[in-house]
Amino acid sequence: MPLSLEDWQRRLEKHFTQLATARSHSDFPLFALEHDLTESELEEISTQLRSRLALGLRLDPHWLPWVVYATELGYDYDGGEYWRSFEERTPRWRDKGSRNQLREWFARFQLVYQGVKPSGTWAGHFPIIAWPITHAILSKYLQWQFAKTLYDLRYRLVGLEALSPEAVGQLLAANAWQASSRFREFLQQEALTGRIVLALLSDRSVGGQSPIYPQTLQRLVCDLERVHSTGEWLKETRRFVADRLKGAGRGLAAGLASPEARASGRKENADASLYIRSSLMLRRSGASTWSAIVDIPSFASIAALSSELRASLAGTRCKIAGTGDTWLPKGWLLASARRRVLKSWPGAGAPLVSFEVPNAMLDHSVASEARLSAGPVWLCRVGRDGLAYEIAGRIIRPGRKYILLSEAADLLSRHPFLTACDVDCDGVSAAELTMPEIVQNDLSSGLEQLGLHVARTVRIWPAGLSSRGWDGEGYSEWLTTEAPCFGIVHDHPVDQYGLSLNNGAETLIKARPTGSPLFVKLPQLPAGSHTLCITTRRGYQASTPTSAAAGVVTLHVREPEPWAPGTTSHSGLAISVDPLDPSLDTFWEGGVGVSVLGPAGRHVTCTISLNSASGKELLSDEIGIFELPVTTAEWTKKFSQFAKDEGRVWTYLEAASGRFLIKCDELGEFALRLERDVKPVRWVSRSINRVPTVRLTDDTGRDEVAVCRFFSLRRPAAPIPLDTETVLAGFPVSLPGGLFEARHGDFPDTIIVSVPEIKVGFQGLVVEPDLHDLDGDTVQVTFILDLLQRWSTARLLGPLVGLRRSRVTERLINRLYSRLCGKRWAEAEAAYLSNPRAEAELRQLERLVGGSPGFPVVLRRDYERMEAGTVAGTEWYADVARRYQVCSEKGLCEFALQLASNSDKLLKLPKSVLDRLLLEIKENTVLLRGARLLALLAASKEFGFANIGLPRWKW
Amino acid sequence: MVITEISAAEVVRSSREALGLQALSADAIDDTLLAASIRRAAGILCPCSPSTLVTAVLESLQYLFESSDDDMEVRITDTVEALIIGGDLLELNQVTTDDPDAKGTWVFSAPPGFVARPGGNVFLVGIAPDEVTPLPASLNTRVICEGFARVLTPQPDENLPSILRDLGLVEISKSAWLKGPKVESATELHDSMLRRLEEQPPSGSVADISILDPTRAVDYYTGRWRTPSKESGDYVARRPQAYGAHLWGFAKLVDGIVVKFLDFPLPRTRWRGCDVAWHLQMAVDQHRGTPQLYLRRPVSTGACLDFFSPLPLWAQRRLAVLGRPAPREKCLISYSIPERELASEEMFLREHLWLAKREKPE
Repeated sequence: MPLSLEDWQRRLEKHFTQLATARSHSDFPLFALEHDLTESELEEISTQLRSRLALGLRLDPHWLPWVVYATELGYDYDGGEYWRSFEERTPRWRDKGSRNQLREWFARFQLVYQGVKPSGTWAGHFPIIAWPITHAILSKYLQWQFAKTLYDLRYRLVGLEALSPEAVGQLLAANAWQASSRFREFLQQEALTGRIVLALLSDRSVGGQSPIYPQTLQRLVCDLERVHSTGEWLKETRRFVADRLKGAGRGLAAGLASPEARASGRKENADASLYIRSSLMLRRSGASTWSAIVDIPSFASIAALSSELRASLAGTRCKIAGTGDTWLPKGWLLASARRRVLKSWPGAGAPLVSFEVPNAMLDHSVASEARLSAGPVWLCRVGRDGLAYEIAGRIIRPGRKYILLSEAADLLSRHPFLTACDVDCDGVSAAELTMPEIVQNDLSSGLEQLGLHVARTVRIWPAGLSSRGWDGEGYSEWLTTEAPCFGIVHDHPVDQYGLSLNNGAETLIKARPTGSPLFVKLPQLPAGSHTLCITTRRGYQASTPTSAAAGVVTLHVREPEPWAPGTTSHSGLAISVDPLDPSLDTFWEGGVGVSVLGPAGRHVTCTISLNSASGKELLSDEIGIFELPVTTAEWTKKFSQFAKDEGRVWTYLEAASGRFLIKCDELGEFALRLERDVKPVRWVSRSINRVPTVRLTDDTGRDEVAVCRFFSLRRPAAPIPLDTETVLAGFPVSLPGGLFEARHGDFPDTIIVSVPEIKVGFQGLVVEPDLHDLDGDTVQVTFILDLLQRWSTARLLGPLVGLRRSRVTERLINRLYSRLCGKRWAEAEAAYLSNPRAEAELRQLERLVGGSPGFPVVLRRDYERMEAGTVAGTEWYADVARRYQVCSEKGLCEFALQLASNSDKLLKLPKSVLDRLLLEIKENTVLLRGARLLALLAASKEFGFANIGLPRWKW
Repeated sequence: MVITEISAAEVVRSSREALGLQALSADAIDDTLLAASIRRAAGILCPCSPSTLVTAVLESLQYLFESSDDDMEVRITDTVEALIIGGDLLELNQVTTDDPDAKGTWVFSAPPGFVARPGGNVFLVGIAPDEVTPLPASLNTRVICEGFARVLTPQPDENLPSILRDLGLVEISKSAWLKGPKVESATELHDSMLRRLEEQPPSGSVADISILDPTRAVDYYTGRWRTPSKESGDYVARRPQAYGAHLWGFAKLVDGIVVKFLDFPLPRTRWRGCDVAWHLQMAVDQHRGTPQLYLRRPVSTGACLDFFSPLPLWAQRRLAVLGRPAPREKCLISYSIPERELASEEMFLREHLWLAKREKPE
């Protein structure tokens, strides 16, 4: 006889009580997924719960089965809309059930059984659905990414036995930046995710309790192994972690930690990773001329320390000192190591990298690590391959050839043993040094004056395997997975060698005859900096070395960087995407700049696929085949044509995620994950028989309702209130569509949905907006700015939506400048924008700027100065304005430029500041008109921006 | 004791282990170890010149082999070339690396990928810089090294391409990987190169040039190279440059003096300079009525095809995908080709490379 819901309630109470008691000595909270029910038992409970709900009976007596039921739906959650699928699988929930009631049951579960409590920003934004999804431990749709993240971090997870669940969770959160935004949000619950990792990868228990109930853990593992790749990743990670934990190397290495590596906890990893030493290399660029090249290491290890650092590196451009004035794209330092030719010498100790947006920690790291070694002389040894690598230890050997660099110009004249050569780098001179086999005293002392030391005794080198970063004289990089081997050979009689690692106990090894090498092997070393010291002894009984260390090898040891599919490093393709991790909306709206460098003449294929929330592929199309190199302008042009296709526009409406792929045969591929921005309050649009419908999804869990308004494309300045019940149920969008705005507390969402009219010719394409609502002097400038911001930043959906939105913003901008600069100016702007190549229209604008006649002439002549960036551009504009007595306040000049180019963003300023600046600018319209002239000239040169007259200046 | 003295043989053994290779009974440096060492060095050093790779590997192996340094250098150099043919390394021309304003020819490490072979197994290519392999252990233990190539054979009912794609390896289509220049006759290729050569401006003085003498025996490649004396005509040639490897090209000589020089590779093409030159020389030899030769030697699975001059990369890749590299016997290159592929491959050699079959070994 089947159990009743009362029985199930009692059984669950008993089970969770026992589990909670057992866990009371550990810090491990309970999950509702740890219910210990079989699949058929769950089915039985679900059926009974649904029947009871349909009958309209009280639900509260069976709150535990409901918690388990909601959790199971959370486990099956596909990342889309939780409530929609909940309601579909639970008929009559909408009228008989209550979201808040469910939240109360979960809260009760947390209190009674020390259940887990959702935490993190995501849980704050989605306060109800966070409960069932968190209690589901690891929803199925996150399992693939979870297994992949563990696999990518397998080298760093070997030390997890010593870490707290929070520390493990922090490690995951800081390193999963290539994962989806939802997964990154999931990882914000660091204690929770750390606990899952401990349960999956180690047999650690606290007070006899494992972090997850064994049957539940087994279920998770089975589900992870159901998918081949996920199963492989999990198996491989478990195997690797187990091997390293049990391996002999660990015990040995533990005692070897250097002072730096011995520090404990998170700081240890941070110190070990904060290694961004740049190295110098010379390459011939002529018979006796060299080019200086600096090797900038990847900053990925710094990004891995925290999501804040990662965001900073991904969000700001950088410059490399001495390589020119070019700002390198955002995220440039996150790719693999890069080399740049030095055109001018950055100087000893000067930071090699500077960031457009400063970050104190990054700047500190760069200042201490990413710089050239101390001067005044830099020594580079010429290798067999003709390249010269810097010798950090400044050790010179007889019979070798070197290039010396010096900031002092009189290097040659002061040292007769040097011969002349050139270097293509301002601020540094070069000289060649050919060392004789026998070094006389005068040469030796001359070299000493330069801070260089002649080595005559022992030579050491990495044997068997090439070492990373080996400079030939003592600096090397290794991985924690490697056991370094070194060869040692001497050119004078030696009886014994003494070798010690990190000033530890010395190992004595009998030396071979002169010229015969011996080899030594070190164990695998922990991440950090280590020193291998080699001393020589004469006489087998000698207890003290004959000299100071004959050789010192620095071993910088780091964890391996796992290979990441879909990335290109040094494969010959250099791909730049700006911004680095755009949303699907930003990408589809053309807001992403893409450029590809590679071997000229080769072709790359760009494709995009769109998927539904359940992962079903909706579209997989080729955007185009491009010949290398691909410029941002070429990309923008081709993609805008691609995205305009009506069939694709409808598919895009359905899509929840996408994947952009750049493929170039054996040169590899670059993949970019694209996802919709999922907000607590969001508009969802679907196409039903090509008629778009909109519906509001509100996951804020608040009692009050969202405030919703509609602005038609026909009357974009006239808001129409929307009924909350109607928008929550969904409704078709009437012609020609418009802007839907919803706001619930701090959570807003805005979309523009376009519905094309079926009309002959172009009549149905563009909708001419009626802006008579803005007529009259009572309308504030800030109201127009507000409208502009609303229309400019909304997500776009539907055919022709980009075109139609542009028309609205174009007209709003014209109204704005009509109000600020006068009607005649606005008419002249409109005339110019309709024909940017017409000289007459441009002359009319120049005439209307006002002030001194020379002012607009200079602006027109030199407007390209703004391309140097807004900081330099503002300086220049302020200078011109001052010279022509237009304005002497730099701050107002900057505001004028911002108002002329970035007006939709000005509402970020405090209201009082904005109001004051608007008043001041109204008193100096020449300054604003001058700024607008610059903006219009700049915009007319940019593809896709000319029509709205706003340039792409970065503020 | 944490620091251990080991023998040279143990260093080699330790290196094999670190590179994920199976132990050998003798601790010799075989081709598989050399290839794996170069892949590792490439993961660290690329983009770089081939000589940088050779130098790095040679330095790490010093005192670990009994042959001369020069012999080992030749072996490493040959292995680098084999890895370029095998797709682990990419030699790209007209590409930007460290100086955005300067384009050059560099060797890059290819990203991990695979090419499906007709028989169902896959040819693995590419390098994962910090790892011995991008494959999980369950797959990696099944990788078989065929000389420089790494091959993975599917188990019954296993969809290997799908598994590798899931792991993120790039699937390179056979057509893309084996892409060769357009099919044309030897005369057409010869004539078009002559036209391009004639269009070149006067070269000025080009010193220390070496030419491939078409009058010398086609089955001894090294012996065909010489410095010009008083001859006039058009020759595949190499000229030195102030720094870096000698450049390939096509030279017009008058009384032993270079008057025009067409540099290879041609702009905006994907083929390497040497591949263009070798292909052109095949056309020249065919045009003169002395086509280059190959020898077919029967073996149990089909036949070994022996070649006496270098083959362009795209031709070698084809042979490597359809067959496998075989030990050389008095020739420059040898591939073992299965019986079922022999007829079509011999036709390929005749139609694309204008080779003639030598009837018996000399």
